[in-house]
Parts: sequence; C-alpha cells; structure tokens
Amino acid sequence: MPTDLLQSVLPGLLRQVPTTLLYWFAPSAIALLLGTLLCIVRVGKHRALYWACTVFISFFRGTPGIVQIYIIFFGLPKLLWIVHVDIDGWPAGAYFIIATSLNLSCFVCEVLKGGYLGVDHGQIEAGKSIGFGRFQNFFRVIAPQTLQVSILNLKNLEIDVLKDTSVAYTIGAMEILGYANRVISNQFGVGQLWILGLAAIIYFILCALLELGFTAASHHMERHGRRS
Amino acid sequence: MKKRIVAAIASVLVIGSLSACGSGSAQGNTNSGGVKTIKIALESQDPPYSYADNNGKPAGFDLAVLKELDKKLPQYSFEYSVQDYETALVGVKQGKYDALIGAFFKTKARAEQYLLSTPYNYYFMNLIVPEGSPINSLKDMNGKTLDPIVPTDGRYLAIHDWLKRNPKVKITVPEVSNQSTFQDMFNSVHDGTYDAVYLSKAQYEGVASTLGYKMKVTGIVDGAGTVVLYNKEQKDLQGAIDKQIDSLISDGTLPKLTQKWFKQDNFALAKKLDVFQS
Repeated sequence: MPTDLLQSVLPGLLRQVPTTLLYWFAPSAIALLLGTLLCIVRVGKHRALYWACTVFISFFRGTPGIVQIYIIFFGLPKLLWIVHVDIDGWPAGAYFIIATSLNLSCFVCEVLKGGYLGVDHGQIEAGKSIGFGRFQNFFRVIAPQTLQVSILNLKNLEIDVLKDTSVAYTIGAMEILGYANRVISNQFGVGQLWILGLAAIIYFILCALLELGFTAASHHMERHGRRS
Repeated sequence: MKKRIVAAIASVLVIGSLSACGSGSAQGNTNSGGVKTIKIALESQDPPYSYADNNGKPAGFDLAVLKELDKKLPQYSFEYSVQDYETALVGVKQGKYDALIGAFFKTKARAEQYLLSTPYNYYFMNLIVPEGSPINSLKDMNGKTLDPIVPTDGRYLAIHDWLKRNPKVKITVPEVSNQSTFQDMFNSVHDGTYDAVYLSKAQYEGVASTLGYKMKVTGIVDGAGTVVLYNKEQKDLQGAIDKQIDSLISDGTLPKLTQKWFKQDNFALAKKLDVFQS
C-alpha cells in the first residue's frame, strides 16, 4: 500500500464517518418510532388504516431502495410545491434520510409484527390481570418482550442500513463511499483499489461495532430469562 | 452495471410520475432585484472539465466558463451543485436543475430530451499507443482494436460518428458496461491486449507519471464541441447564454481560458480541424 495514499486519503475518509453515522442513526431512530406505529396498525383491527398501511409497506418493501431515493429526491419538492412549501433548497442528505426512514420503517414494522406475534398472549393477559392500564401494559409487557424476540432481526436490518448509506452519494449526499469515489476520479483512477479497500475496511469496522452493540443489548434483555 | 439499469428504471418512474404533476417546477425564485436564480448541475466526476474537489466544492474548466457567463448576465444569478452523472441528467430533464454542464457532446438523443447550447469548448481526441508504434491517426487503426468504451460515454459517440464519416476504415470498438480506470486502459494497450486508447492528451498526462512506462501520444485525431444541456422549458436562458458564448469567443475571453487550462487555443484548433460551429 503506497504510504502517501494512506496519509492523504485516510484522514479524509475518516472525516466522513460522522456523516455516515448520521445517515444511519437518523433513519434508525425515526424508523423505530414510525415502524412501531405502523406495526400497531398492522396488528390492530382498524380495516381502512390496515389496508392503507399494507399498501404503503408493500410499495417500500417491493421496490429498489435507490428508486425510492430518486422518487423522494425529485418528487417530494414538487409534491410540496403544490401546497406552496418550498424544500427545493434542502441538502441532499435530508432527502436521503427521509427516503431511508420510510423504507426502513416498513421493514422495522414487519420485524416488530413478527416479534409481537411471537410474544405469549398469556403475558398480555397477565399484565391486565395485575391491573396494568393500556399504556403501562404496552411499555412494561408488550414492548420489551416484542423487542427481545425481534432484536436479532433488527440487528440484521441495522447492519443493512449502515451499509446502504453508501448509496447516498448518488444524489450528491457525501459520505465515505462518495468521498472515496470523488478522490478516485480526481486522481484519474490512480489507486482505485487501495482507496476502495480502505473504505471497505472502515465499513467493516463500523458494522463490527454495531454487531457488538446489538449483541450486548440482546444479552441485557435476556438477563431475566433462562440461560441455555 | 446494475446501478445504471436501476437508475434508468428510476428515471422512468420519476419522470413518469412527475409529468403528471405538470411542469410546475419552474420555481423561478425571483428575488427583489428581479434577478432570476438559475440552478446549474455540474457533473461530479469528469476532471479537469467538471468535478468536485476534495472538499466537495464544484471545480474545473466548465465552472470557470460558467463564472464568465454569470458576469455577463445581470438578469440571472447562477447557483451551482455538483451531482452524479445519472442523477444530474434526470434532474435536468424533470426540472430540478435548469441546466447541466460537464463536457457533454451534442448527440441526437440528447437533442431530443434537452435544449442544447452552442459549443463553449472543444474536446480533442488523441490515440495513446505503445512507444515506437507506427500508429499516428485513426486511419492507421484500420483492422485494429480500440480499448473498450462504455456506450454512454461521449467518446463512444464521437468514434462512431467518425467511423460513419470514414466508412472505408474498419476499427473494432468493444463495449463494456463499466469503464476501467485510465491506468488500466493504458496497461492493457501497453501489454498488447488492445492497439490504442482513444482519449485526450490531458487525460493521459493526468496519470502518465504513475504508469512506470512511457506511451506515445499521437497528434489530434478528432474533435467535437461540448455543450450545455438545458431543461426543455429554459428557452430564454438558452438564448441568453448562447449569445454570451458567441461574444466571449469573439472577444477572446474563452480562447484565453483554454490557454490557461489546456495550454492551447481550443477554438483556433477547432477551426483548423474544421469542427468549429457557432
């Protein structure tokens, strides 16, 4: 590996890490909330809402992510312009976060739904029997147990989202891979494989850390359960 | 390459779904002075013509041309953003950007989808061949093979135009879906896989020092004008800019700019090669 390349490119790549983390964290936080709401509708009894959400989820789960990013990037400003809201000047990263949040919400919803259906219904009855109200029951019984069942699937989703931040540069939102591509093209392709290799290593380390975090969280959740 | 196909699908979807909204995107942000803001996209990966520097700021010869034009057009104020190739093309087509620049050649397909300016610069092609090779022109390439070119590349259109004009010369132009780096192109000619790289001298010089061997650059074999692409609605802008391009060429501003960037007067060269258009 040419050392001058390491000295000139690595600091720049590392400077992009916060942006990449933002493009991962913001959609994750939004999707956890929105995905939970969607999930409540999907396991609920309200027919009209149920079908509306189902169509929404099918669309986002059934079309390529990059198509959704394009549609949000080009379409959302036009849609809002009809009601005289001008978001044309927003940075590309904002569109990426919106598109990824919507997409991820649908996947989170389905994972949580699976988790919820996996929770023993007796647990919910038990909660009611000791006098928990609806909200108390949700936060103390349903949510923790649903999360515990879902956590491994959520981990897979989050790792995917972290890796998928690498398509943000296609609409001009700069992150690790976008920066790598820019440097490569500015040097007419010199050192292409080295630079991409560096980017890959950075992604790998970030994913490994995420994996560790989730593993720790899932052990924490199982602390009251039986250890096999 | 998968990304290209997906981008194409995306463009179709986006444009399809948005043409329904009408072209209400001409959000002419006219501020108090009556100056209209024009959103211009610059292609992000085409140095030295148009690219993002390592801080993400637009840079290159094409930007320098735009800045000269902006000075001459008090009724407009240009706003620049650097954008990925496909995204920029879709963005201009459906009106997110008003214009796009980045060493684009004039082609039939582009003329159908965009408004095009008159050429603001000329792009000259050379052949890069092994040292001591007898090849000096495209005619010498008869029966030989060029290094592969992506069909969406301007060079692909340029070589096929030339072959149409010179039907006696048969050159094989392999197609690839993903352009290799300049280094790899020169390597594959150096080791004899292909006979020549069809590229500009400036692009060879950009990597010459990293190759570890010398190549021969022939004289100029072909040239073509590069144009601004406008959204179809931008007739007024097209007219205004075209007028200024002509005057910047005749008053020597643009020829001076090409001297500074490419060490040669591209307009005089274009006239000599008989590819000049105004």
